Amino acid sequence: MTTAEPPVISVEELKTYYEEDGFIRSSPPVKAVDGVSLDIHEGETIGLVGESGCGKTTLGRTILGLNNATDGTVTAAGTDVTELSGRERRRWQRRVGMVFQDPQESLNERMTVGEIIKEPLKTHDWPFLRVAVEDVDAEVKGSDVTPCRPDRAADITVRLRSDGTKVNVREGLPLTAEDLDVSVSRDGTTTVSVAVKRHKSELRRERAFELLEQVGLTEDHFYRYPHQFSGGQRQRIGIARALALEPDFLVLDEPVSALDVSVQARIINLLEDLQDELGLTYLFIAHDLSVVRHIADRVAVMYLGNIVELGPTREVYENPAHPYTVSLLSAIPGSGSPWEGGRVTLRGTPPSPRDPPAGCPFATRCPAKIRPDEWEFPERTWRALDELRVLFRTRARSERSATAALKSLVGLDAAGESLTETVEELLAEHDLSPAAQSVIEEALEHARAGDDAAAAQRLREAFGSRCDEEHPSGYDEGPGRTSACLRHEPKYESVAEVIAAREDE
Amino acid sequence: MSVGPDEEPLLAVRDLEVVFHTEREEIHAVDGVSFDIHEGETVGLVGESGSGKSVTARSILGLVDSPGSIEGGEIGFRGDDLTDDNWERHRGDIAIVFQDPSNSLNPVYTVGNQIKEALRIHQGLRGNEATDAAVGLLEDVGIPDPRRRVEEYPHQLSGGMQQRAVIAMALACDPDLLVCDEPTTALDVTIQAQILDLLADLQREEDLAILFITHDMGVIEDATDRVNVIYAGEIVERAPTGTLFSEPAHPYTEALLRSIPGRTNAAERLPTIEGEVPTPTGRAEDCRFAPRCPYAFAECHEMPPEHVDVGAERSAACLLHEDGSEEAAERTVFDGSEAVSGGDSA
Repeated sequence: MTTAEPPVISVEELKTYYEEDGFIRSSPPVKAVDGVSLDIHEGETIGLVGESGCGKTTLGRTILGLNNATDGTVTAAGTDVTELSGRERRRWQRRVGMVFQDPQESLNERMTVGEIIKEPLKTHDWPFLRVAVEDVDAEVKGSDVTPCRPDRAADITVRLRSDGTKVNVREGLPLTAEDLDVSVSRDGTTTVSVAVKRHKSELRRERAFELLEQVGLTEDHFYRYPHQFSGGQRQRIGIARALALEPDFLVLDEPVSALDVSVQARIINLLEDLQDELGLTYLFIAHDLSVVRHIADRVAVMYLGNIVELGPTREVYENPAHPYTVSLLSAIPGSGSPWEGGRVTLRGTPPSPRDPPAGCPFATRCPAKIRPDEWEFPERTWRALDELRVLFRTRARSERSATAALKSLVGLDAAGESLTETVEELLAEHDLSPAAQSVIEEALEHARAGDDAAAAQRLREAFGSRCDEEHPSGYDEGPGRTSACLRHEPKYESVAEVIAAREDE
Repeated sequence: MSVGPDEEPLLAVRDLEVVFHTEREEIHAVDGVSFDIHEGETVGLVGESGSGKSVTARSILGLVDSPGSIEGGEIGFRGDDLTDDNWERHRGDIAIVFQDPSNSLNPVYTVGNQIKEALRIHQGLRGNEATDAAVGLLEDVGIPDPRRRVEEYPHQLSGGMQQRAVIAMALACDPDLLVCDEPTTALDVTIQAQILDLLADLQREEDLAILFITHDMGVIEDATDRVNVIYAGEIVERAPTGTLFSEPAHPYTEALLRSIPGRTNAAERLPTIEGEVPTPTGRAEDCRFAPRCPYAFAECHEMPPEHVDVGAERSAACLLHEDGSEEAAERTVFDGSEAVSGGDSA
């Protein structure tokens, strides 16, 4: 991987929102991918990690054109592929492929392995042989051939010489020059007609045999059904299908998550071999950080639709910059964790992507969040206050059951009392100044009046900091590394120091 | 949490055999499994899919259904043999937490109702008393705002919160033994860390014994005191957790540990184990790992190996450790220099 070369795929400010129009009211869109920029270079493997629901899969699918982008661009060879439609989009999809997580779900049980692998060949009407005519401007004719565009490698090269026509077929195709009829007519313009003497279905079957061999299966497997295969073999079939159209770029969506370790190791080795052999570029999506550490050249850490840290795998694992990366790495169980400090157990779950926090997406759970100067609390009190705010936010978001709504209408609701109790329990052992207490009382007033959102808002105004207001952009954290955290500004203590100090408290 | 060997174990599984009868064949899913769990300790059962670990778990709770049946051995619990149809007697003493929390919760009842049902059956609590107890349990398992949550339906909780609710339900019967069958496999690594912390806290507070079943070696390393490694229905190695990782005695354990990515140099190929886990269709007549074992010799294919002691509180079922075995003497086996090949096949 050399960063000097232009990227093969360049993702810029990409946004993918899922809109959902309800029958009565429409809810805000799910912001699955919310402003991602990423350059992907030829031949590299980028690991994409993050918790479920953070938008990893949607990002992969949007790059491939399987989901529509809401905003932003994905540029490949000078074209914004998110704008493509119809034939042009299909042409792009021939150059890319996807391997899915669950080999049990992603193969059609009613098709033989041969049919499964041949399916993309049929759908895209393979072979689409690209013919280049050397040295002469010539028109190319024929039912199975297209003229080769300058940015692609030619499948068939025709040389027009005085002593006759020379035809060359690229290696890796189940075809030789003998299988072609090439005739040249020079009627003012030169026309090269190419006819393939073999039937398409025959070529496709041979291509499928070749693919089976490439992924470590045999011709016998062609005639069998998916249920006759183990999980590891099924994943090989999925890989063969993804490779059918000779893509340059593959999105591997959790390809080994459903497999046992011993089988997982073999699939990882296969993917690495194929990459070397075919010069593939991978976007490897995984929640298993150990697998990514093994396979990826660079790693992108995603949280709530944003890439929060990006850098060379080794450096990121040895010296994580973003507090979320620290938390993720420290959560790897056992001696597989590269983090040497104590485990940073994140509280709660990520916020809803329908209603992401206004400032830093990670602010609600961050173990290194910047605290405002106005208040002096010990760390555990800050955490209790954070928890209180999350509690109000969660309440504001959750739909109440019909009975609970009815109860509150007729005044039978005990929620007010129970709320006071919950808040008292949460803050029982904390020493709060009168000023802080009055803020909490104000928030409680809002909540008792049924406005949990206002309660959360009041707490945010009083106890929030820059992290709650500013969406941090990527800071440069070493060669090829960026991390989106305000703590990287020189006036703050570093992430690692803060986390260590707070964990000690 | 070391326990003296003299103390009576809480659970003593001896030579357990579970057979599934299908039209074509008999599958000996669990074939002579023995292990102990003492009060207050966490024992791991680790193996790949199809190794028989979940069937072992279900046997302990009497949950093996047709076409499977327990055909031999004993499950001793507080002096009773459970396989003697004593499950009803100890119903509530043993609870289980499954992998997928959404399958363990009924979508049409609130979380509170489901916990209250367990409280009514096992502790006879009703009405407000039961509601308060349910809120208390949700609080114990770290669910914030429990008074509100108790009225919510399972779909309103995240995966991690659902698993906490399932654990609360399991605790509602005040068990002595908690069987956790892959309790964190469906969860994200950060949520997994929360659940592992929670289980450790509960164990400390309630002096629970935990049987922890997983395929994840990292989780085993963090969560357990002792480990049993299971392969094709048989336990091939038992050891205190620390030594299992530092000096695996059985070739299968060694191979399993080596194939975990991220522990070796990223530039190297991952070492793999050739072949597939066999389906045990009869009682063992040889070492079931022998066809995949890089150290196998002729006798390995002729007789099933017995467990032999290989150190303090640990044993392995492997002929290499047999006293006077020439092969064992010739090899300085587990220095990790040669061992498992890096080849590739389906």
